[in-house]
Amino acid sequence: MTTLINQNPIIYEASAGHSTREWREEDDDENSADAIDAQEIFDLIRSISDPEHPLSLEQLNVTQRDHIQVSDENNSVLVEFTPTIPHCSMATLIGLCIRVRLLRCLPSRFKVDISVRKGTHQSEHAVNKQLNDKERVAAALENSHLLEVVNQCLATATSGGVVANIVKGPAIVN
Amino acid sequence: MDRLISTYILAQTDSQEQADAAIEDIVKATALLSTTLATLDQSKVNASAVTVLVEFYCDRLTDQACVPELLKGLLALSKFDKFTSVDCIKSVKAILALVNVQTYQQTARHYVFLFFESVIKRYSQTDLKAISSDFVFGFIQCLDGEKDPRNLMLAFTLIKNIIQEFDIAQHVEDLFEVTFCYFPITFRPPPDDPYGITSEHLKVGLRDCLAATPYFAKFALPLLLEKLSSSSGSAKKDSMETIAACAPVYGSSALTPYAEELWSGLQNEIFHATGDELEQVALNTLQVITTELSMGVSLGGSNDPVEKFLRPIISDCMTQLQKPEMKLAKPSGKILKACAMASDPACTAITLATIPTLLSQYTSSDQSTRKKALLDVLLDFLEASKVLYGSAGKPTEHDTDFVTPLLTFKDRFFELFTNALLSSNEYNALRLAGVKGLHGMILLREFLSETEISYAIQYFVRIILEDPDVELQETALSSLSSLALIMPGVVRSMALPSFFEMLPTSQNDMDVDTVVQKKSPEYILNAVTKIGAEPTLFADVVPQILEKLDLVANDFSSTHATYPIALLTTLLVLLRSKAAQGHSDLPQYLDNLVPRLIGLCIYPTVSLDDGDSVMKNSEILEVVAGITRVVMIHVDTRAQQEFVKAIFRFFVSEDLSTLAMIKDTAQHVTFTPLRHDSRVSQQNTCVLFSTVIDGCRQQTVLPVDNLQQFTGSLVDVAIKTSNVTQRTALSKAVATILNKYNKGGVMENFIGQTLIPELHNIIRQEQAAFETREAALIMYTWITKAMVLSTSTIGYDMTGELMSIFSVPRLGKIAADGFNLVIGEQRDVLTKESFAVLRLLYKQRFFNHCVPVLVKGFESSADEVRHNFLIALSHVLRNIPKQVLLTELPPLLPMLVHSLSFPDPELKASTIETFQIITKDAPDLMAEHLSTLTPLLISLTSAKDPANTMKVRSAALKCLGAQPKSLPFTALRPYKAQVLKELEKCLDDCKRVVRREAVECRSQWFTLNGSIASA
Repeated sequence: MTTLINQNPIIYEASAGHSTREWREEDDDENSADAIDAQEIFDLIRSISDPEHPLSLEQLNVTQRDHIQVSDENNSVLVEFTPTIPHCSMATLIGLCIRVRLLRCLPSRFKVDISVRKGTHQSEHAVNKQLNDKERVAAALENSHLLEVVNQCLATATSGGVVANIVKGPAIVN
Repeated sequence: MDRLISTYILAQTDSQEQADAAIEDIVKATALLSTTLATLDQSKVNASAVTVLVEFYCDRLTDQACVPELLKGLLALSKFDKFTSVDCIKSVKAILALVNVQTYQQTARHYVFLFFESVIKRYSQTDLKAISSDFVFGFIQCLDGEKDPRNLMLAFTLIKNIIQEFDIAQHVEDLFEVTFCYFPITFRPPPDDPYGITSEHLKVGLRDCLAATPYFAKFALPLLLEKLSSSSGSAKKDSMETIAACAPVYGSSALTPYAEELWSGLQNEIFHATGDELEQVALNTLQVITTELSMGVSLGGSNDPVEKFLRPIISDCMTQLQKPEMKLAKPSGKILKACAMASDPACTAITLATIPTLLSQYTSSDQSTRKKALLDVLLDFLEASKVLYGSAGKPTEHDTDFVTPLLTFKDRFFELFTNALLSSNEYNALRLAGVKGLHGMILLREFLSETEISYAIQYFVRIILEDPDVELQETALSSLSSLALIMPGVVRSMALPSFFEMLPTSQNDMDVDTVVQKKSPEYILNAVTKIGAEPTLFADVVPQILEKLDLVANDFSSTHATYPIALLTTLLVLLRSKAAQGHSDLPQYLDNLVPRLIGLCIYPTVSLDDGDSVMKNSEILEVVAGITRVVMIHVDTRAQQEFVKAIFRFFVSEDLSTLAMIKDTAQHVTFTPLRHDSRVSQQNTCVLFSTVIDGCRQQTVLPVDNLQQFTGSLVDVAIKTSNVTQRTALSKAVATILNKYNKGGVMENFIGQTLIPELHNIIRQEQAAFETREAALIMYTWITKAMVLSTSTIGYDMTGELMSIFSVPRLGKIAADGFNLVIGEQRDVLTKESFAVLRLLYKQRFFNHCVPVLVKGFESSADEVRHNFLIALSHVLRNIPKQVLLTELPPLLPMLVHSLSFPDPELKASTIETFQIITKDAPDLMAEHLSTLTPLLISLTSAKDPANTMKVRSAALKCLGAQPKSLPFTALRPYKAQVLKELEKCLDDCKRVVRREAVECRSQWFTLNGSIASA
């Protein structure tokens, strides 16, 4: 059995895979535009699996909605993530997964910055540099083994982001 | 027969003289004889013939070429009644001595095993016992080296039988070796295996052998432990399941020496589980072992085998639980739970060893996540206790002498969970654990006192009514709802009154200021629907709701209908869930509840001033209709008959004298709901009238003199009235009558000669008012539906007529949409449960009848009419069972593709949905049309065209996204780059729902071959 970097991580409550976003009236309106916001980005990345454990990034508290900043008008996104332990060698891989997920899911007009949250990793600077260097990211994805690992982590990613049902009154169920 | 044998023997002697030249002939002759024996009526063969034959066959076994056929013959003989025990011994000895089984082909070996099976069944008790040792030994020899799964399946049953029937003491080790060598089974059946033997069959067969005797214990356990550390998941699982199966047979004394190793092997599977399934198997195995060890004879105090086994387990788990918020704490809890569930001694030992520590850990910890994790472990203990010592409210199959050791800690538990639950500023998950804990304690048999249960239920109520957190509310509510079934008494006295107290009783109560602190009445009523279905509780709910309704019926205006609607909906939801659970108390509500509600609806419509009243609200009428329906369809014909009479007195005879409320009112206008010129509020109550007709059983007679005349008058009113509600209600009533009371076609003349010409006339009258023509068309459509459901030929004629209306301006579209009504299922009218006549396969028949006509019509019509044909077709396709759809689809595809270019969003979306079904269920068909469809679907995802509403865009993306999962890679590859590229635009769609579909769709295409394209 291979030894894990972090054998026994802390597990946090995740909101059962569905978005905490509530339904609004304008969601049904053809003409009202819904801006891309932090919740939407969070829903895109929360269910990515950790490379080491069969747990989501949300469950490991690696990603949090409050650590995402979005400006739809300025086309910018900043995602900060928190490795489970400061010497986590998986940090770059996790960052890469987030990077690829957002590359695939966000309009290309966005400039996406991904970084380790300040003070949560030993080699914070190096990791950040790698993650935001376009060429290094592209090179990493040329590596078919690495790509497969990334795709595996992303396989669970789509379970997030469904609008939660809210009960208003006694609902008739047939 | 005799002649055949003698001929054969003769031929035999002859041929032997002619040397070996005729070996083939001998084999053939043997085969002939054996086949004859296998198919022969055995009464034709006398005892001496059997003996001669057995002797002959046994002697011949030396002739290797004939052995397979000889074995077949012996097998046949062994089934004969006259096959004696002497014959049996003789043939068994001969086979064991003369046949080297494993040198023959599979069929021959199969005969040997079948022969053994046959003789063991008949003679094991008596005669074979005498040669027991030889037989077992010989059998082992026969089996040694066997590889064929068919033979093994048979052999495994034989081994089990032999172990049970014979004395194997001399040969335990040999028998074990020849059995265990197959473990773990790695067999994988070939594709399209005709024998249907799976590796699971073999595993279970082998497992039964290994678990057949305690003699195997000392050989099996070390080997099974060894396999447990294997790297293959399936071998591990098999080992664990086998250990679990063997443990009860091998017994405590055999297990004890391996206790430590078992734990160290199993803990790996739990702490570092690779999957939920393996973990569960490991836990289960652990539990079985613990149970078994608990039955071991105690050698006094601490040497008790189960205590010895549990000691390292407890200590390992407690080490992990020192850091309860970490990942390994949860499995530790599960392990303790599994062991505690095993037996009373185990549970007591574990409880006493762990709970005090856990409790003090809890007290000394100030970290919420840690506290929560500790409570989770306590929850595991509650669950274990429930399984082992029985749950409240259920007739117990458990030994009532034992009480759970948790009883010692009851007060502490209650305090901890209560505090966790009530600390309102705490971490939510901790409070949730509190709710679950109290719930778990209530569920334990003879655990909490009644006072404590009352307290706990009050806490739940408080959470539901006062707490702002949704998840907590839901958990508390679902606890309460499950308790309502087990202990309705407490819920009735402790919970229900608090809910009803919170409900407003007047318009003033609804004012924002007072509501702001409290939960909305809708919320509270929703909670009531979750707990009130149990009969005694429901009996309490009904008067409470009626009381509130009485108060608001006078006080509220029709614009403030939300609250009364919620009150009535509560009743409806509860009645429906009662119906679904098969409660028997439904009929009684037809006597009091339903007439009372109908009265409440009628009353304001006959007041002198026809003033504003909430009970006139159309949604209220719908809900009351729903209540009427669900109760009505659950009563018998006699009760229905009474009820229908009363309702017809109100609606048809226009006589309200029997309505309780009216009696007290001196002045009121007459009630004339079935007229086209009466008060609108009265006309609207026709909804109730048509529901009552819909709820009638076919045997219930409508109290009118002439049903056809009555129906005709309803049709008349429906066409003359300008009130849409009344018109729809009456159309439904007419359709129901014509469908239900048309036994033997008694109505068909009336329909064909009176109704159809009349309606037809109005529809075609170009100078008549459009509204009248529309009304006639709608009535026509409803009648068509009634006839199509009962597959009457009139229905198909009428369908054809509907299609001819497609070309009539303005009416054409309505007629096309009418197809949805005709073939679509209605929730509230003409359904199976409301006793409508629905013939078998009516949808298929309708489909087969009208699709060709629709296609032909489409081809021969002008462009502006074609649209209507497509709409009608899409309604038909949407409502047709999938199997029919898929077989009939290919010729329709061009038409469907065509309909994607019409600017009608509804039509587009519905067609795309059809394509999605095709993608999933007929991928080959879809693959053929990719070159046309893919560009079309892509263009439909563009928001630039206003006809591509978000529904269309989402549907198109969903359809594209379904392709990678269903269609072959080779078919899709040419489109991959294009799809990914084009859909990039959808990532920036202005609607979030569309973006979500785009993301989902693209990620499906990205992983199409595991490589990344344009990213």
